[in-house]
Amino acid sequence: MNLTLKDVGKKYTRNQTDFWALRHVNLSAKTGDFISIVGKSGSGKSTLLNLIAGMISPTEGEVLYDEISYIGAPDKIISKFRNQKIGYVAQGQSLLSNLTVWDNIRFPNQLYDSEKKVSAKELEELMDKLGIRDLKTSYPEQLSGGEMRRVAIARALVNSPDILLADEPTGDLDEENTRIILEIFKELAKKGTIIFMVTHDKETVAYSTSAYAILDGNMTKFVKNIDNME
Amino acid sequence: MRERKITIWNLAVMNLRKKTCQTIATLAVITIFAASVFGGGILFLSLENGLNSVKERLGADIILVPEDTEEEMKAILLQGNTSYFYMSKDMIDKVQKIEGIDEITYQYFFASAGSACCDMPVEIIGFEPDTDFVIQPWIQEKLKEKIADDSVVVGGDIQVSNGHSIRIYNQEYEVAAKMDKTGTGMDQTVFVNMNTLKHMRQAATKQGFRFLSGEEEDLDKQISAVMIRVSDKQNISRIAMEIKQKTKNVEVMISEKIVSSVSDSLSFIATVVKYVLFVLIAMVLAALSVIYILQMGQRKKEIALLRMMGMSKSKIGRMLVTEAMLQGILGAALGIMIASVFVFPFNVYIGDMIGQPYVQPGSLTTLLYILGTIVLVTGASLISVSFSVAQIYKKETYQTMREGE
Ligand SMILES: Nc1ncnc2c1ncn2[C@@H]1O[C@H](COP(=O)(O)OP(=O)(O)OP(=O)(O)O)[C@@H](O)[C@H]1O
Ligand SMILES: [Mg+2]
Repeated sequence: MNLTLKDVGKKYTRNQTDFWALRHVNLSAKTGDFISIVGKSGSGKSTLLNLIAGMISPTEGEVLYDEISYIGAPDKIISKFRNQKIGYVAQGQSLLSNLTVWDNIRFPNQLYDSEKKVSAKELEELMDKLGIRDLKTSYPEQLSGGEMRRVAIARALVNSPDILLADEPTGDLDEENTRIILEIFKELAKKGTIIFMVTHDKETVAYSTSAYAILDGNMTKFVKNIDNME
Repeated sequence: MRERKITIWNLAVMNLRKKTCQTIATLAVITIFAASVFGGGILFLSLENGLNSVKERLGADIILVPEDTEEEMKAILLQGNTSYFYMSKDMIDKVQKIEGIDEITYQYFFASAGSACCDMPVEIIGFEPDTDFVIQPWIQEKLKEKIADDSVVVGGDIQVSNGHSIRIYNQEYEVAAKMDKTGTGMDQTVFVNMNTLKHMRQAATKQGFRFLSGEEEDLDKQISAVMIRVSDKQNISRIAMEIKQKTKNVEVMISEKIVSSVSDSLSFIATVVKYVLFVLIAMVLAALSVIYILQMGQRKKEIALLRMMGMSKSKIGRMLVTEAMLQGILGAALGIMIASVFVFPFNVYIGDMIGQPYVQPGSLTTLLYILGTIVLVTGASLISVSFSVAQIYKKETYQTMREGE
């Protein structure tokens, strides 16, 4: 899969005034890219991920997946595309509180009949890898922040997405779990998944193949030397 | 391990189960609504049935009773009160010759003593089989031949203890038939022919009971009411006038007026019920809509998450609709059950309390009414949730994934 953002901008309205949360974003990513996104709070990082996920449509410019734009496509088509091709680990607590861990993880895989169904065994292997196998029957409210995050990661991976969007995925994990997850991401990228990871942590950036910084001027900039990122 | 598929239905059920408090609060509103609609409806239908059965049962166009006993007569007809009053049998001769009278007969009222017979005193009505046109056509539904001497026909509310006989003034009488309930005074009445009535009187006198109508032999000279059917309904009031002129110390009652007093109060109740229902529906729609919208506010993040995982807006809409539908059906069922517990077992008591003829609808009508209530209540729930569903389509807030929401 190739992903291209062409001069993408997103305007929001707040207190009756419009403002650009993101503007003139140009980037392209291909199979195997592991991209870090850094930037201050409010600089538009989550907005960028939402645009890539097709959750919101750009005010200007276009997002192309293998040269195809979904802007203006029926919601059903975009939704199904997102379900099958995009895994999203959202910022903060992002589990469905009414479902058990087990149901949360398999939820994206149950949504469309045509999907290739993952077996219980495959699910357990995935949970094993993330060290959350014992939590199967727990509800999100019974988990720690780090456990919730790992469940959210398992859920994002359940449909073997082409693009993985991770918004501060290691924010509340300890060193060991951070390493485990970053290794998993690295391995996924090697197998062909495009990964976008929002992070504040320089060591985390080191795992990625390239990094972008979103600066105040609502621009994206390719950062070669991670150390100059600020 | 549960390998149940996660369908929209299952998802809705899981949501309702996990959000117990919200579900119970919403259910409570729906249940109260359903109980009021169902209970009120059954009450109203019962009153309407009661009116119809009074209309059917009255039989006579004009009823003559002794002066000042009009209200008592109404109470006997409508509520099953026991009372008796008498006038001279000559009354029949006085009015018989008036032009336009088609049929004329009389009835003799008598009451069982409280303790001697049944738990409660019952009204005993004696009629003359040869001239009667009021009681017999009705009894015919249950009893093909003429009622025999010393046997009785009982109204629908009278308990026949061993199934085939009844004790009145310490004597057994065979129960030839038990009538269906009518919701009128007829339900608490025992019908006998005049021969049987004489036997009852004799038995009572032997036991020391004394009666207003004087001595036993007077039975042939005393009656309680004269029932008249006119040949042309148009003439009812003219004939009534004529009777008034030709008689003294007598009350001339026109059946239509008895019925219309019932139907007047019924149409008043109907209007009240209609407005109450109208207001109730409006209030419930408003309350449920607000409840659902408030819940949507709390569920913004959940909905954004569902979208994030690739659930389409229409599927999320279906999930919300399914939740509302489940709550609607469950609330309707609960409400109907709760109302039933009050309305059905206590129907005799309710009828007495309202003081109007009261006949519970049949099982088919009840069933239809149950279905109607479920449809109405579930419909209200669905209409209310539609505003929330519309929000998913309108607002971008339900689509983004942001921290803090
Ligand atoms: N739906 C929205 N409506 C209005 N303003 C929004 C909306 N979503 C985001 N914004 C604004 O757009 C800007 C970018 O938000 P975004 O969430 O992308 O920032 P971020 O870089 O992810 O920040 P953080 O690091 O704190 O998560 C912020 O000023 C935010 O308040
Ligand atoms: Mg963010």
